[in-house]
Amino acid sequence: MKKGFVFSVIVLLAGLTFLGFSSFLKQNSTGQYEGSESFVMANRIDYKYENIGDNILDIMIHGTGLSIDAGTDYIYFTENLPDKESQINFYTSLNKYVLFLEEHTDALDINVNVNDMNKIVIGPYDINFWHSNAPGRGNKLNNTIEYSPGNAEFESYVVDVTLQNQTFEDIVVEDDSCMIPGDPDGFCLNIIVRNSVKIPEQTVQYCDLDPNLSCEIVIETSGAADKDVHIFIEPYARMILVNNNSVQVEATSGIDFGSTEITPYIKYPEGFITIRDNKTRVEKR
Amino acid sequence: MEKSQSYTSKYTGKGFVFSLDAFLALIIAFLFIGLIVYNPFEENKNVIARIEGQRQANDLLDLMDRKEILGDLDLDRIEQEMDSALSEQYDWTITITEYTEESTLFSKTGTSSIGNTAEDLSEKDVIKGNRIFLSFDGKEIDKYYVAEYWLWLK
Repeated sequence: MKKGFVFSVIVLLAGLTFLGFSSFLKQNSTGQYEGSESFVMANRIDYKYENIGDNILDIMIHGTGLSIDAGTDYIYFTENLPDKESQINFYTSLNKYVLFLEEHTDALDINVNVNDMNKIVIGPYDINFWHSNAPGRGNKLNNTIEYSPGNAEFESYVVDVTLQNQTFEDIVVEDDSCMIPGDPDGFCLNIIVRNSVKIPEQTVQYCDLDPNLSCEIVIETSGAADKDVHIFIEPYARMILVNNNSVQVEATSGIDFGSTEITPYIKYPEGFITIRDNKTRVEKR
Repeated sequence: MEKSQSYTSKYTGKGFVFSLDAFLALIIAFLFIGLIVYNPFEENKNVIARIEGQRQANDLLDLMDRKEILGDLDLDRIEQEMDSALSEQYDWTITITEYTEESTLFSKTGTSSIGNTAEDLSEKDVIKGNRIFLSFDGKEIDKYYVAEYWLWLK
């Protein structure tokens, strides 16, 4: 075989190898670029999500008069109960905000699930805090507060009620089914009832509450029997606070977590706010 | 004369030409590879600077919103905070636009700009972002604001 032919074959093979290598590098760099573009977009979406969450919390706090107090091992919410006007106000403001958001958000698909708006989540424990209309318990969003933790990995619920224009009578246990002495999975419920000048009328603590059973405790006032404040403990360690009287009470409710490393914080349920960029297909929900 | 002949034959032989050819081909190949590798590396550097700038500006707006500096529309304070907290490699401008709502229609009722507003941004590789914040009158939203920033490398 001629030397020239061998040389040509070697050059051809080397050329092909080189071409293959170049093509691989090119593909790799394109992939890297697309990855970094998605990363920039993920960063942007993350920030927009936080911004919307902050705005909605602002609307909730201003609209409903809800105040939140969180420390290293507790979180408390204070609000008037019932407060229909505030709930209506909140939804009106929220709907307007969503309209504004739709008009002023460039290129991103944003969806806020307004119907599920009264629910917030206590992180990092994933406990739902919301104004529920639990059937047979509280039936109105404006007079019912519900905590749905899913488990009892906390120390105690706290209910601190300040009566206004009502006279306190007694705290009565209507149903004690969940009170199991020595229950190893049990949690506590601390109740304080105050008069209109914030002086405590009665303080009680119920412990060893079984997270899978039900209880009912009533804060009786001088009014009609069906107009009292009820506290229900339900399976999965749910706690429901209902004021059946049209006269408002100031209700501080919350959870003591015992020893914790992370201060509780507020977040939104998954799917409540959805932001998507169609070009990079980056989505946060 | 003999020396000169030997010199000529040493550098004109087939072996030398082949080696020179191979050497040149190798240099061209390395240059080509270098270019391919360098290009994404530069792009990555650019992306990192963008993300860093975006994060810094976002965090600053977030902080100023929480400290109610944005809500007070204290432009001097906003300028101070931006200048003191943003990396020196960036120049910036912020425009805050105010909107009011009437019967679910939003109309622009004011605009303020701060920072390096004189810069022509058409030729710049700018990093953009915005933050929406609200002011309240009692329980209701009074005004809606959009703080939009543009950031670029000096």
